[in-house]
Amino acid sequence: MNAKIREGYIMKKGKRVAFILSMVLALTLVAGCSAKEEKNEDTGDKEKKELTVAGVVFQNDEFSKMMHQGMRDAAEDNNVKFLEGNSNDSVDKESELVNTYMSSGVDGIAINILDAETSVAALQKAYDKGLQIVVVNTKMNADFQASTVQSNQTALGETTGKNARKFIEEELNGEAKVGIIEFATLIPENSNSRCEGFESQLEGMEGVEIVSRQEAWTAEMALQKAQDMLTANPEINVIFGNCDPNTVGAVMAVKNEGRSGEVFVFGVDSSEQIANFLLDEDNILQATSAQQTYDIGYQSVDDLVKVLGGEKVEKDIVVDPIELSRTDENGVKDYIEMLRSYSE
Amino acid sequence: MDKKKISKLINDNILILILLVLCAVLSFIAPNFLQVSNLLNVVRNVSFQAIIALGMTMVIISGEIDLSVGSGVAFYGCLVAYITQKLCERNMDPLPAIMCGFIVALLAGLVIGVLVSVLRVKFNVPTFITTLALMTILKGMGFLISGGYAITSFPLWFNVIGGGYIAGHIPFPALILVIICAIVAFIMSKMELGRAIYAVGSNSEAARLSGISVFKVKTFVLCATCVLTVISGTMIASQIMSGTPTVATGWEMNVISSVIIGGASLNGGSGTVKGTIVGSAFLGVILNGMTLMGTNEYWQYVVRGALILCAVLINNIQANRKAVKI
Repeated sequence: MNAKIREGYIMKKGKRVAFILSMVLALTLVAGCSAKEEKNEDTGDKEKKELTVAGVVFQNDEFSKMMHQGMRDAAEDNNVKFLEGNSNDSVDKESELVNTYMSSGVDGIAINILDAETSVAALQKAYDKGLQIVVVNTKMNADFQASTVQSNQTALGETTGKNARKFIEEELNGEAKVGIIEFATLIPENSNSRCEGFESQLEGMEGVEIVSRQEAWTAEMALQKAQDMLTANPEINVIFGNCDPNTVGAVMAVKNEGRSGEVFVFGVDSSEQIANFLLDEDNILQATSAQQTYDIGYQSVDDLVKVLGGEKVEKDIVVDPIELSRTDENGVKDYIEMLRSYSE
Repeated sequence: MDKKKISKLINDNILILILLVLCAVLSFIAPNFLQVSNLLNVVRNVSFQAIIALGMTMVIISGEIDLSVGSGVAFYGCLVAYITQKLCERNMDPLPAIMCGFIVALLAGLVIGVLVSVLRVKFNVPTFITTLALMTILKGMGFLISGGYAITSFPLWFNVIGGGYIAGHIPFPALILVIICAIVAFIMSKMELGRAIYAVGSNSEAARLSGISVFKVKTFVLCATCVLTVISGTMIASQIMSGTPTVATGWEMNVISSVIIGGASLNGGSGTVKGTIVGSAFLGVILNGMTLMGTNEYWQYVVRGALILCAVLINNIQANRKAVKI
């Protein structure tokens, strides 16, 4: 037989054999998995089923890490299995995660949702399938969730705003041109609540005017926007950054522009870096309000486990912020120690 | 100067002219746009991405692409911060600690560049795929190193590199950009290596047959981009005084846009350093102008995308006209 034809014949035969082998392998795997599931179900009848809960956050920043830490510790203290999830700012990823948990036997989900409306559908489906839901840190427009544990977003802004008002009255003779760096494009509800809270504290101050608003949600983006804001409005002497990266970006922008002592920053959220800004001699960051992120994460999973055990929990739990101010150095140092203890 | 020469001058510098027109318009409608401090800020902000874009120019001219630069900036910044922190905990002075961190990051970048090139040339895995995977891997590694937290291990003086000035006026990153720009321009226009990069991008098989080592050329451009990403990542970490894994999200798109706006072809074989710098400036000026005007963030996305499309369209029309004439 011609060498080429022989080669072709061998190739064809080889392909056929490979195909048959792969089909056999696939069938074996499927059969094996089914047998394992049946075995698990058999065992399940005899033993009490171990609870599995999932904790979902939506970013990879310090805030989300601390929240996961709280959730993880609560799961460990309650002897339940814990799965970590992250929707990465994506509503479709959030939906995908919830569907995955739904079909993999998870008993409950504690979730930091992305949107009060669009997150409802997937969670409703999960609830209808028997999962318990606890919503974290954002209000959801639904009733089926067992509990909502959240920071008081408005109070975050109000706490900082109160400090800003006092500072403007005492240090700036009641006169201020204010720039705001917000994240309304990312999570409008939370961003708007914080800004409304901040601005409410400045009401009635005739010498105060908000002259610029810009959007950012990462530190280098906020830095650039703050610099441009100061260029377009050099009269700005107060900047409000309504989340961790915006606070960091605003402080670094003022520092890099060489306007320490002329422009003062007020923030929301805290990290070790932000807390250290409050202790820095450059006098840029004056006050911030920190969410009790670890406690919120802990409480959410703790409540979830209670609900799964048949207990009733409070429907709405609002956690007030921690006030951090340059005028309370000891309070800031205690906060830094607390943060370090969580990351050990 | 006769009409033909003027016409040629305009055609060869159409993007610069568009940029000048844009600046002229912004000088009227954007408050304080032409202020020296603002222009210096634009130069600073453009520098971080333009430095990477110079490497990306060589990559794209050689017919490849690198989608991992954004994640790379975050990862390398975290790596420098992490190593600095660990060495300072062992009582090393900050300066040598930062140098060690930077060198380790450079080595990591070189290893990654070589890996991508090996996968491309020896195993024929497209760089689009490899660097797409790396985009996710490096992002994850940034979070693993930092634990998701900002690593704030730098001494105060370190801020000069990303946020400081030379002679009181020139942003330090701009000085770095000028130096790197000069080096890359020299390589691309005066050295055999530069001609080899164009040749490989135009037709890698013909280049190989004419004695050019395609593997060496691709390794060089990919490693160079990684090194420039390390430099930019270190500068960003300096600017915000922390290694943070969430920075530079989406930078790969801005960097590639700068190169394409500057006239490079995604098919390889064409592109210039001058074009890339103008492309980077174009994007930086648009962003700055819209921020100064207080434009709504949503409109900023729309306008930026539309202007990029227009700039690329005009460039392509010019290039097609030249091709027809030939």
